[in-house]
Amino acid sequence: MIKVILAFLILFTLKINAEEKLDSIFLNKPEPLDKFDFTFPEYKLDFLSNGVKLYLIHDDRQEITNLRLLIGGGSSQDGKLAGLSEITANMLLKGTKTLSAEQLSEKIDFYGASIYASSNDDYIVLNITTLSKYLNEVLDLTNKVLFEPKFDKKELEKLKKQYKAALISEKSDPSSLASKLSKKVIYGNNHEYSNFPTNATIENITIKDVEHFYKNHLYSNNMSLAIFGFYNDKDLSNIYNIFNKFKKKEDFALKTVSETKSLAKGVYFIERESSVQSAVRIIAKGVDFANDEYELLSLNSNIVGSSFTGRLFKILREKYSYTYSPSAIVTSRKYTNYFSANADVKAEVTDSSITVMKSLISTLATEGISNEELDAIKKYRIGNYLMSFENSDFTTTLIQNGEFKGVRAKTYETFTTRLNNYKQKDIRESAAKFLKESDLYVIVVGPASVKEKLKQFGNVFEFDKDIKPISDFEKISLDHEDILEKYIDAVGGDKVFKEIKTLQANGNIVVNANGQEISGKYESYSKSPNKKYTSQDIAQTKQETWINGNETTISVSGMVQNNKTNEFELYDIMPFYLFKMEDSDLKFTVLGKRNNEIYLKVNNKEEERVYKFDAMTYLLKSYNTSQESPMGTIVLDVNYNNYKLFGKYKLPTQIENISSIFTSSLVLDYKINPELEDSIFTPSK
Amino acid sequence: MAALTTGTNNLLSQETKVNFKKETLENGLRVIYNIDRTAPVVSTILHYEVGAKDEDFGKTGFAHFFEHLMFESAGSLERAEIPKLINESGGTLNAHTSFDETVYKFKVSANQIKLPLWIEAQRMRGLNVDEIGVETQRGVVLEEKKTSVDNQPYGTMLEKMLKNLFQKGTYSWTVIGDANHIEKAKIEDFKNFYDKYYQPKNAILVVSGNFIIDDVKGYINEYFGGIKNTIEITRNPVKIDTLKKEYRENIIDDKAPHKAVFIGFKGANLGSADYYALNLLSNILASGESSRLYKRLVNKDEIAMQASMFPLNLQEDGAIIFYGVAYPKQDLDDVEDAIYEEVKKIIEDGISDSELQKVKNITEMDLVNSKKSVMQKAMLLARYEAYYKDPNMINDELTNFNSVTKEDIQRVAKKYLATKNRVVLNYLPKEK
Repeated sequence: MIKVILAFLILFTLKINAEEKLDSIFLNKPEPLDKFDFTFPEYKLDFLSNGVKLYLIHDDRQEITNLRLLIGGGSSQDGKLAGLSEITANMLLKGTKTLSAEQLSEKIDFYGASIYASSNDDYIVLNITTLSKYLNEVLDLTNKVLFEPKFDKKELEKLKKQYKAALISEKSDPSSLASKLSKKVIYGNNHEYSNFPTNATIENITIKDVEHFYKNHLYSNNMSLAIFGFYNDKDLSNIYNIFNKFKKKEDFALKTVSETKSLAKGVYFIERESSVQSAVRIIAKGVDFANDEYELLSLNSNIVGSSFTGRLFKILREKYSYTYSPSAIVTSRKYTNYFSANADVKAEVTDSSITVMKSLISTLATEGISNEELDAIKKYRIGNYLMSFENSDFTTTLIQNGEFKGVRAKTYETFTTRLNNYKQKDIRESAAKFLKESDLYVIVVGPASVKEKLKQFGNVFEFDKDIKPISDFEKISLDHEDILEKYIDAVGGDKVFKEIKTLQANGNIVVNANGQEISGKYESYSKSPNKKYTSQDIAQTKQETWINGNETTISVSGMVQNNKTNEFELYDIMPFYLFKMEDSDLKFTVLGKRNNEIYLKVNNKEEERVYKFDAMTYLLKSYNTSQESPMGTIVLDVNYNNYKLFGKYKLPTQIENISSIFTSSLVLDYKINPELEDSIFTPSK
Repeated sequence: MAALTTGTNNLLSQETKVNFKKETLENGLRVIYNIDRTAPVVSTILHYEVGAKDEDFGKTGFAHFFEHLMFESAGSLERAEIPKLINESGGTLNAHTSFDETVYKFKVSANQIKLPLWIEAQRMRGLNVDEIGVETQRGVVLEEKKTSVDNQPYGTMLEKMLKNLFQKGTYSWTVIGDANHIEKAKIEDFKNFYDKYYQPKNAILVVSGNFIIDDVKGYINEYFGGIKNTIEITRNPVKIDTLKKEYRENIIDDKAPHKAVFIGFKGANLGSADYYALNLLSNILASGESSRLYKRLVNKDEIAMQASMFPLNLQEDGAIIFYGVAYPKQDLDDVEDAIYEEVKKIIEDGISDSELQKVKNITEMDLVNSKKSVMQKAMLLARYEAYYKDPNMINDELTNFNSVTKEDIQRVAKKYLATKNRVVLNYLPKEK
């Protein structure tokens, strides 16, 4: 018995010791091991005999060979034909003198290789990647692409069609819109960096323009070539033979980029219909990439928005849950960059988010930064920088791009030392120079419902999705009676309307609120002059309304309420309501025309509504109003879409209600003058 | 004492081959080591074999929710301390969740190797599932859903596709799940999920990079060796529903810039006999400008600005999803028909020798490219262990692709795509 107890005790003691040991292991974070000495990856700078600058990094971990040709002259060189540099880059891959576009892509794909052309504001890049065993075959194709492009007219037209469709896609992407608007604000009008392609500029590009751009940029003294990955001397010799064929042009220089003329300080807004989030950007003008002050401004952006350590993550996401993935950057163009703090936030807290973001940025100038915060950011930044050299493509891109923008390769070898030497006062001085409250612009792409609350941050300038300012309304010669008459004609005419005695609408309703989507059925029956029944059956909650003369009964899941109302008229069903407006004492103001819409403001004692009509068809597109709710004032947009003819009458088959707290979408089918029993309009006993 | 179960020689080789050692601790934690001395960097991957498929039908989004919650407090670590410690050490951290896995990733300078292991061990069984963490991450996850789904063009596509393709079976909901479920979930629900799936026997730890293997083995034994498993893991039975008819839906999408059609077919599960042929078939149809869909729909007919397809490779099931984005004014039916015609050509006529060689070359390039960094290698080793019980597939998988024949491709095209039992989602922009 004693033995058993002893054994038990021993076991128990062992268990306690193990658990204690386990706990103690985790009490203090482990100390790092001895530091590994970091040596900057070996790279070689050289020149071909024709002057093409070379960057060589040998990396034999994988049998892949990469070439990266950088050609000076991106979209900043487009002139009036915005989009030309990018289209030229892509046309290189749309066929050669001996291979059609399809044959060329077939051959590139056959080797599992890729030859990819892209263009940014400053340069064009041709990236070539292949399994090393197929390098010779892929070099042969590269030679054809660079020196024997066909520039076929039919291929150009196809490419233009793709670009124009892509322009439409961009308009639905809040990040693209916010980025373009930021560029417009910082660089101003008529600047090379805010010269965006449009349908017209793309359409105007001809084969001659493409040939001209190609011939005037592919000079040996306007390019550099990086070779990295797996290669041997023979491979290099074969590569050099191709790229040595470029000719040098004496006195060649890219067109100078203009001085920036930033727009007035304030809030810049693009309305994105039915957006459930606002893309918020707080931006401020910076310096050229090669400017000594760029590095510190960049460090400031790390403090604001780097990974999990940045202020935006810690406060905007982890404290308030306003956003999912905030960030901050300084752009990396050759000239005049800008700081941008970015967050896609829930629409209803757009103004609160802006307040927080501006504060987190501007306090860098007013209060500075603690040594602890600076130390953490420096460690993060340096650690990341060093780890990135694991991949030779990082080293290559860093050096090749940097030298194009005026930063010598050697500069990158001492980056960590410089970063370590920055002090709190350096950060504060940089922030005081670039990131004061008065330096900041606010960019918002979001729903109309957030617009009103933006005024607290300054003048609000509204832009459309083509990044054109929404100017004052264009004057029109119509008065409100003309507009309503045209609307009546558009939907079928006064005579046709008066023939409608009953109306039936059935359809599906989808409601989105608090991140949930609920579907249901909707039906409505109306009978002139004073009867109406509606039913919404959503998620097992049925709401019914019976209107019969001045008696109204509402039932919500069996809970019934009776009201007296004003005499109901068929007019009250939107969009018929406008007929009633014509005869009423409401106050009308014709605001004018903007973006192919005619704006009509209607006021009564309680509310103001702005109606928008299509300027071509005069059909009602939308109206907005505000409603009081337990949660305060809610701005509501009501949109009418997809009009279809029912008999002789046009009705919207999609109706949307959009507010900051919910959206609902109705898809409807109508019947004009169906037989409707009066009993429908009275609740059954 | 850990049991060394497999291994290869020459850990320091600079060859393309990825060398590794695998051992299993007494508590069932599988550990894989891969040495790569290229840079003073180490990556750790902790791969938990739990994904959206392991959730209950009315409690979706839980696996993904833990991807967030696991960065809250754990053991001796306070809220926000995990990212702070890692970032201050110069490292990076991240995580991802899929239908079958939840994976936590750290990358640190080599001398900091102990830190991620110390963190992972604490949160493996010591996560504090408390109110502040849950409420904060509830808000963040709901915003993530808005960013990635609600505010995106065609954002509802995957949800609708999975729901109709897999019906009431495993994989019939998205990884991010139903916002309603996350909103209503109680702390107890999350605790139960954690206790069930976050155990050493349900995890694979991979360390890849520049380290001394015996030292790291010691750290792992010290940190993880004492962690106990808690309960038996009883997984939901896999439910595979067969699609018996076509499902078709038109969706008015006010954020969609263009009309688009998405067509889903049932496919093969990961690593199955048909999996390799189906993946090569997808490259034939959709990889590069010489792919059949691009050549026909974008280049020749000019009816679509994009046309492609991708296989959804899942552990227990599979899907093949085609899509075409129509040019403005183009009839979406034409896009859909052209996709079927291209598929039919393969079903009836097969493919050429040159086409087969092309897609094998593309696959080889993809596989080589997927092993460029220590983190990529660590993730692959974990996945091969999780899904094939064989990490050496990282070196061998190309052989499986290379053994596929033309006949195999024609056969799987016929087997999976010669059917009208499919899901067709037509996305129509709201008329402006």
